[in-house]
Amino acid sequence: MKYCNSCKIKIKGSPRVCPLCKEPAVDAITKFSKEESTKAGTKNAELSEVNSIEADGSFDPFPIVPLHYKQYTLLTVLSAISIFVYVIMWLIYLKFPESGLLPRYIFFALVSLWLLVSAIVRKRRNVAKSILYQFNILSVLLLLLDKLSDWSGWSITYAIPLLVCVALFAIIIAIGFIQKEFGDYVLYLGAVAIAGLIPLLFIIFGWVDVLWPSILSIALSSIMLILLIIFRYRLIVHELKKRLHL
Amino acid sequence: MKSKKTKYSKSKYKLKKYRHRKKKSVFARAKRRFSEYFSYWTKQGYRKQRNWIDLDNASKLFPSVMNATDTKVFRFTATVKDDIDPKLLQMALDQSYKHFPLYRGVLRRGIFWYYYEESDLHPVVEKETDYPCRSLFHYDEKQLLFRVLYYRNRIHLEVFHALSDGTGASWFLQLLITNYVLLRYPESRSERIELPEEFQYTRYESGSQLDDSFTRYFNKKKNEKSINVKEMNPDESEKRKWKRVYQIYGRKTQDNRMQIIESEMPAKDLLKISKDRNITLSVLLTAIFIESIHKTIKRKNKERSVTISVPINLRQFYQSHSARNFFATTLIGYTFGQEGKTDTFDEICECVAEQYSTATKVENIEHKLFSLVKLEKNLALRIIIRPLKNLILRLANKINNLSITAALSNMGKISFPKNIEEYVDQIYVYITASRPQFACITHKGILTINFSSPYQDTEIQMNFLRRLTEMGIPVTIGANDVNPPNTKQDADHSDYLFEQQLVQRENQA
Ligand SMILES: [Zn+2]
Repeated sequence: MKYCNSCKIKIKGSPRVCPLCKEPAVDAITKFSKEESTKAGTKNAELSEVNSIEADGSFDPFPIVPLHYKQYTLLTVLSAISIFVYVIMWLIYLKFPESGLLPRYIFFALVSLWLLVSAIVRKRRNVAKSILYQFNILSVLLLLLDKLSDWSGWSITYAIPLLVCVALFAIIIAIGFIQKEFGDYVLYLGAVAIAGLIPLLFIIFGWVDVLWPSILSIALSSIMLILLIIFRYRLIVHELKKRLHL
Repeated sequence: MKSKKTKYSKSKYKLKKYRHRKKKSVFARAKRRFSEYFSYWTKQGYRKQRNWIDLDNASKLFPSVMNATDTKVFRFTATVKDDIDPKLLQMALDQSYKHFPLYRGVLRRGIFWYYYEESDLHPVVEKETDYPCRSLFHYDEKQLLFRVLYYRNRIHLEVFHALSDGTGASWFLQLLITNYVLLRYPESRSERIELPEEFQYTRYESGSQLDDSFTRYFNKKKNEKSINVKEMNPDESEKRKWKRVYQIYGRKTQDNRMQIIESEMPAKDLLKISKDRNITLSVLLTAIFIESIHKTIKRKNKERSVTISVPINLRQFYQSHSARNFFATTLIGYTFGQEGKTDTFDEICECVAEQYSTATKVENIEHKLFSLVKLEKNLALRIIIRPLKNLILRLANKINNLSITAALSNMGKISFPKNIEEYVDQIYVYITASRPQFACITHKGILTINFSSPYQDTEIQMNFLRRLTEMGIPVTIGANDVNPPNTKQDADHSDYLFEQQLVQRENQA
């Protein structure tokens, strides 16, 4: 127990300064022993000195917690690498302008890296959600890449339909091994399966010449949807009600 | 000898079995893995439909406006006679947890609103090693909205404000401490436990505990008859205009931890002072707080209002055993530098007392709550998606905060069953804050006033507590270290600096 002469206040534990006024605190025992010794004899003062912690329950009321500093390591390393790579590429481009679109691709690659990493980190607690986000980001990126490299349609012909199939299988395999409640995943699985029906538009509007990837995606997705509706209808309704309630 | 032999043979047997397994392990393991995998798709347990409920009116704000500093977590601390036995505390927690279905909930995000979902999670007591009131909610994680910690002879119950208010949480604390004392001190069991009136059984029924009392009492559609036009007109006092409400700023702590200063004093001394002045304890404390804050204002010549946000427990006006939030807040303040006033302490007391008496009138509270619930049930607001709603609520909260200088919360008295009482010492309560704030509670005649602040400055707290000691009240304080030495070297260095400072002081003297 300590004592602050300025605030006239007892302080629990053994801080060196008064938490209120930051003046040095004195030992409460030396402060009070004179008064006590006149009242109850020296015995009392001795006792309180021997057992000063237990007698008045005066230990530091809070554990000492070292300072927490936010960990920026991964983020800082990633951004440093990104900036470094981009600057180097620009320098190369300035030196050899014939390398053409190089900086644009590099920029594109870095943005993709950032988007995917942030999706993985932010959604790491729910694998199905994470896959859904990555699928969306990748689809948009691939479309852009196709556009950047003089549209030839490979993104909607092959990349996106096949990506749907990969995403579907990835979710089914992952959640079976993780073994957490299906309710947490079912809507994301459903969302990927619905996204898998989009290649139907590609076929209808005649955007694609090679049909088998789109057909594969549509077939797998509709099987998935039908299975979900037949076997997990009540769970889906329950989850939808829960998440969509107004 | 015999036992040794069996032990030996047993281990041999195990070894054999293990070898046997190892031989065809690849196949067996693959088979096991597959059966495990398929069981996920066939077993009922994995497609559980979890019960869920809506957040009540007051709770809806908390998940949106919480942040790293102001986590909206509050803490009850109970000190008992001896150091805590973690195993017994865990047992006590298990027993208490069974009676609190509300505390089984986890908070989750929907498209439009947050909601509580029932969980199978099991709370585990932990030793306190971190700073007080760390965040209890993560948007993508299912975690319980409370935790139980212990340190030396202290038991802490930390609760996310979206789950429960102080009154609701104090019921859980009472049950937890009672169970712990019964386990830890068998002597306390000898007598038959006589439950005080407030330990009514209804508190521990899931129906009454989970009751959304806001909707029950203040939903206009359901209570159409109970309101009439007269009540819908805001009271004169509601329109009270504040002059430039003072905002407290300061130096934030280094790692956003709360600065906690707990203080304890005999309640009867303070009650005597307030009785002499013919005011209530709440009025006295509020007036002292306003005065302490005013002392820290640098430019005093201007007209300035100091306003204090005070929660009002609605259970005293409306019959409710809900352990969820059921409170309203009101603003109590004083404008300094008005003409014809000298801003003495007596004047502040008088002004505060008058506001308390109007603020706690049922009509005034009712009017405010009807409009709040009406706003919540407004369709245009309801169909805004949650991320946008978060932004709006955060902005609204910021704007509302501009009219608030500080906050306080008087939890009143807390008690335990008679034979438990002698093992329980002080009870402390405090809540994270975005500006200096205090909460107080009385137990066994000891009033504890506990300040929490995101700032390193302690001037307001000092003014407040010095005011009490000047009145002759013996006060004991305790504080957490917001600037701890990080390494041994740092500690040694600050020791050295401190000694030098002392030498300097002595020389000066
Ligand atoms: Zn002091």
